[in-house]
Amino acid sequence: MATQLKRRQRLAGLLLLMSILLLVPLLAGCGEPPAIAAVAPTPTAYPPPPTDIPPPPPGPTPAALDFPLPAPAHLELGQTNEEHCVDCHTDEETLKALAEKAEENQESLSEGEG
Amino acid sequence: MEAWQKVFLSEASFFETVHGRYGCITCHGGNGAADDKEAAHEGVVREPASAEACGDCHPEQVASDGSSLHSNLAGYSVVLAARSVPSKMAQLDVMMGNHCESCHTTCGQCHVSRPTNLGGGLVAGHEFKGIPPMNLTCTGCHGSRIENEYKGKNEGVKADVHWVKGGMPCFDCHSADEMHGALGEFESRYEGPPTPGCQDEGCHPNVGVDDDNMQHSEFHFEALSCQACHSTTYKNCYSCHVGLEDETAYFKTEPSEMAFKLGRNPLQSEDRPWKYVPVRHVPVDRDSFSYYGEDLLPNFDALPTWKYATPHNIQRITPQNEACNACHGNAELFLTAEDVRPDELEANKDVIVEELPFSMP
Repeated sequence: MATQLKRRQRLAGLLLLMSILLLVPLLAGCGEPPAIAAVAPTPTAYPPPPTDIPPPPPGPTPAALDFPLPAPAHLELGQTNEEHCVDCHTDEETLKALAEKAEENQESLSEGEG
Repeated sequence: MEAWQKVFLSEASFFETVHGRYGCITCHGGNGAADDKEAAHEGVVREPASAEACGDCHPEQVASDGSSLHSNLAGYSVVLAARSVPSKMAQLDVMMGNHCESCHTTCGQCHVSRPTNLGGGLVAGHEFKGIPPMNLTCTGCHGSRIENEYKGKNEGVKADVHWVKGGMPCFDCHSADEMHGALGEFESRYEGPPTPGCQDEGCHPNVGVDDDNMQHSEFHFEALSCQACHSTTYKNCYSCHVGLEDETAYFKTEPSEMAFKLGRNPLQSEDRPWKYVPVRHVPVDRDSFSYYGEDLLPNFDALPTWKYATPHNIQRITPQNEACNACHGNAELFLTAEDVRPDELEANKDVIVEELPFSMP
């Protein structure tokens, strides 16, 4: 009889302990959250204004006002026959033979430093 | 340079380059099918027009080219107009056409060939040089004064420190924008702020009244251009006369003289506020152009013949800055009436120094 009584008391104590363990976290969630310390807002940091503002670009020149330029009279690559141009102007001996003799001994009429 | 060398394409590889792929006729015209010299060259343009030949790919440079002093020669025409009158300008225009047009620079005369003024001639087998070769183009024209000063070719005068120690070619200071007229339109190279200025960023920005040089005082910075203290003896030219003989244009000048003279600044402005600057005698004469007509420069005295100068022989130590009285009270250093030819006194009245800086005790 006494043994049964002790078992009931232990069981009741165990149930009580479990109840407390369950209730404590539940009740803790209902409590007031910890206060956050108030901090004065820091001023926003802005970059300094630029000191080396580039000068305005120069005004358009008369030539610029003529734009757009007329389309260049380009020919399609390979359209012209330039074989003779290249043959002659890359051949030293041919150029020497065809050079204008008049230029050879031309002396400047100028005197003094230019 | 022999005639054949001027047109010799030494490297056939040129035709593989971007410019070479356009071929000869695209820019120069002519008849590539002809095998006779005369027929092949019919209609050939030795100097293709910049706008047509270059403008397609280099529109910015071509657009500003009209403002380039190398292209428009404004420096010449402005001073001629100032010394003359409108009724005489037609004759001077003919003179300009005969004697000055070869100084006019095109794209090709810097980037492909030597200037026409030197007789032309390809500089590297028609290769297009992004940076023109200084010795063949820049100093080809600016030789007798600038090159000789800069490289120390004037006997007894040291070369410019920027050349000797810095090894700086012309374009280290004179930018492509300046050459291409992209900095704006100017009547002369001395209009507007100095380009470059000695104290510019990247040059000598720390030079000023706060540095440790005793002579860099506020007074000196206000009174003297940098060249007044740091350039030395340079060439002065006199009495140029032009003419034609058998349709060939020529000039004759008197022997040049070496001197260093500080005059009153004839171009004093906010950009160039100094009281004293070096002044160089330019070769103009009252009858320089008399071949083309009488009295073509009736307002000859409107401008000085001793002109604002920036000699290109910069030194840290010069005869005039090595001691106070090397400059102060030194009549030899300043342009006085005794240095000026009698018939040019009126023209130079604004640059002649009448009162020397006092001698230091």
